[in-house]
Amino acid sequence: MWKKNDMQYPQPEPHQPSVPVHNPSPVEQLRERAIIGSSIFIKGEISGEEDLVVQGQVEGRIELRQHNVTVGKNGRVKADIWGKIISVEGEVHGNIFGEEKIVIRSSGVLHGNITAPRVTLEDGSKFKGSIDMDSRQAAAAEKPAPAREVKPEGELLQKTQVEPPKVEPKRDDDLKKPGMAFKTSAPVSRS
Amino acid sequence: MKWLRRSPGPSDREEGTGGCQAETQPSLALSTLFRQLRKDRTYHILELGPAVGHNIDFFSRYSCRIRVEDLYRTLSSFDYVSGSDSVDFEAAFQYLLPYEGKTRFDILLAWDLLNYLERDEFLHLMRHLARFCHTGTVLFALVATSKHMPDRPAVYRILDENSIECRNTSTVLRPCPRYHDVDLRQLMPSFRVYNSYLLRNGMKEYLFVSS
Repeated sequence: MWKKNDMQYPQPEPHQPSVPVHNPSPVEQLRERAIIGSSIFIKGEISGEEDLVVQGQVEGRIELRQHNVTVGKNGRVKADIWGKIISVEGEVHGNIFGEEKIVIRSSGVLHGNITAPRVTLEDGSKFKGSIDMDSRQAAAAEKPAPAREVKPEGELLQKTQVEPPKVEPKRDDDLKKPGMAFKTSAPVSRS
Repeated sequence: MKWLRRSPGPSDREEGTGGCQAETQPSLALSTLFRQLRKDRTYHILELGPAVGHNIDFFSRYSCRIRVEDLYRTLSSFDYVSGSDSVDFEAAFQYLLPYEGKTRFDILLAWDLLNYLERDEFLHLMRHLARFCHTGTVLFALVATSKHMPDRPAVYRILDENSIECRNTSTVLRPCPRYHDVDLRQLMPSFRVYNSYLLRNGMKEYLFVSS
């Protein structure tokens, strides 16, 4: 007979979901980054030569064009932000300009405009504003050139409807009607 | 002034798409539109639906400027003030969708939003948007033809040039306004139908062109 205890084979260890572990490279470890803590409130302009993580509140302007800027989950920013790669996990009210890329994480909220060659919006993120992904414009941003204006360049879709042929007024009485004395490009009603 | 009335919008928690199945469907209208897009010019796109990462990714292959409005959510967040008989729709849309006078969009993505507008709202929205269109601006819309439809707009993802994914955000149904071509002509006097396709799910997809 089988005994209950006999059936208690050694159970395999529960499968551990493979969680990607980020092992920072030595270069990354050496890279300096500043952290604005969750209890800190800064009003003014921030610039510098290292990456920045905002967990607190900032009002004004953040300009770190060659460095990465992260607005953490607790971060609340009312400012325009310039950065290399900008990641928004908290809340931003302002325009953001990414030299390389902008990522709005699932917890992120952005009210403002985005300008970057590459933009990623994760599912669940909240965004209202405009996204400018003109890579040529982003490249030109480094040079002091006037911003390229988006102009309509004609119709997107080719016309499918055949326009009625132009009808020249032939009858004498047509020529007497007001507004039809000369050639017209509009189709003439014969009703 | 009386604001546009709207049933309460989805809360952040409700907005999750759990429980609602996603449906992949071909989109001949969008396919027609995407075939015409060129990579050597900049497109100015107005997204009237919510910001969807897939769609932004899709358009990132083109040089474009996308304005995301999520108009249904915006309308939902406004309570109207009772006591006034007339709604100043013109002022309302100028406030809700404020663009510079020189703004001209090339593509308007309305998805299924138009089904959720009252006739007056529909008419005035189209009048307002027509100011920011040039001759040939394309408007993509899905018009429901069945008796009932979900009580909130769905979320649409562009999967590729030929297909989209529709994910309903609600299982509750409401009556559908069932706009016919005649209604659309009246409500969208600045646009003409370029083509339309009836889908199996009862939606009719339209490409309109501003004239």
